[in-house]
Amino acid sequence: MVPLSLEVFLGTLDDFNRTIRPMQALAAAFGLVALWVVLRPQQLSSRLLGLILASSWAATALFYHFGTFAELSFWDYPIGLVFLLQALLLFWLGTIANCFSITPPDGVNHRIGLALSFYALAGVPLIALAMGRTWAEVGYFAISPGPTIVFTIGVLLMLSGRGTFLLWILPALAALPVTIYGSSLGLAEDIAVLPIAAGALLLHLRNRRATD
Amino acid sequence: MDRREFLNLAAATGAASALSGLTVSGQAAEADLISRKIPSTGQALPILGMGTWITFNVGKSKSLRAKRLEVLKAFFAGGGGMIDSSPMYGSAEEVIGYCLAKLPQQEKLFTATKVWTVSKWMGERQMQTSEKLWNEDKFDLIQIHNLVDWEVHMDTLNAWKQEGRLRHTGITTSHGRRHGEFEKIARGHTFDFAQFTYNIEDREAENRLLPMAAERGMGVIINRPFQRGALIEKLKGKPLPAWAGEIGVQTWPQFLLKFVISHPAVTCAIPATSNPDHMRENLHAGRGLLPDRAMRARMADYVQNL
Repeated sequence: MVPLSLEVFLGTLDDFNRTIRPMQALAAAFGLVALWVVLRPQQLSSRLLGLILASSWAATALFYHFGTFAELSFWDYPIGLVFLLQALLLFWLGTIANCFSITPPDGVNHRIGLALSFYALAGVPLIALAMGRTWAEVGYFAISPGPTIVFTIGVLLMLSGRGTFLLWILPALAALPVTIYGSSLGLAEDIAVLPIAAGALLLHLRNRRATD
Repeated sequence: MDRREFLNLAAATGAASALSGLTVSGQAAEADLISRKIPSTGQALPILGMGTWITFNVGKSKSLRAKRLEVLKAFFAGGGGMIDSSPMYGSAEEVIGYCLAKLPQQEKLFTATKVWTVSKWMGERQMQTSEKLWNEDKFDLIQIHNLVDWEVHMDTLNAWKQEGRLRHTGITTSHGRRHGEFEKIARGHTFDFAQFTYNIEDREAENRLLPMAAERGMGVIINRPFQRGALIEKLKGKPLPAWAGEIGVQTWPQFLLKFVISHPAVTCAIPATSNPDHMRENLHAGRGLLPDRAMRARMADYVQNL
């Protein structure tokens, strides 16, 4: 039930990426700042992390879903709404309530989380380029849903703290339509989003059980 | 269905001429598409229309809009005269309006769209938006899409028709979904058209919906005649039977379309394409000979046994 073709999807993504250039680089820089905050926790880490992640989900909702793809697909309204809700949750729990605490950097979850975050920042664009697409036919963190979900899930794997489990629900939900889109259009990096989200959630639950 | 029932159905829908053996339709000249009459109004409709799901949802891209304009030119040049769309199809209605504005006015164009939302207020707003997008002050047909809030929209459509704001009403489903509910609604209420999926592999509609539509005097629009390209993909590389030439079929898409439109209860089929050459190829199926009952059975058997 995806109402557009690969040709139209990539053409629209191309226009979108060229219009917002150089936001992709700026977003990647913010992504690196978020990872630095996770790796070097300080007093303001939770607030800053909440702000960066919330901004990335809000930007994806407003510019990608509502501003660009909603014209082509009715799915982008509810998906965009999920992204906005997640942005509010991240802002509330991370920035306002200061609830995030970073797990010790030697755990398995931490290492996998870091790998997923780097994959979202650099791996996704590289895969797309390797498949013959141009830089503008690629999804980026804080701009497109797939990389934003995977990056956030990676960061969530490195977090603990009151209420953070709530932050897993909407990314897991949003991963489903991203993977459906990916399957329908033949986009390998998007097909992988749901399995990544499910695997990371299982890891997180296992870790929670172990610490309980 | 036995031969007598089949011929009764054919007579009821004005398609008997196409069924008396392998005959040239009485209404079809070389360049014209075969036409069928809309049962409720008697208006003739070309047997092949144009669907717009995915193919016309190209957004603002000027280059893709120009390509769709070529598709539409091929459609009209080949005798096509019915376009079907929906607010569900993203920017398709806007793109149709854009393309139609670039072409000379098509006096005989039959415009069909759908209402796909909930509530009377939202439904009316959506239909008004469709009118603006198509630049159409009076649609030939508005259908209730996939039965969504059908009771509410049925009242609105009937009111619009009575007020002269709409010519025909209809209701749709696709992918073989909810046939039981669809039949119940169509039997219990009055619609000019029913639209559903029918193709050489998905023939469930032959059992209930097609006979029901003929019995109720409803026009029938067939969506997904190629199963959105899956049938063509499946048959690619397989040999057409030698006897396909007897009904003027040169390609698999024509074979598939001839099968669909030769059912006597079908008013028109709406294949979708983004390729002008494919449009011309498709339209060829709407000319000349149509298979009779025996030939249809042979066609279905052949595909089933491939």
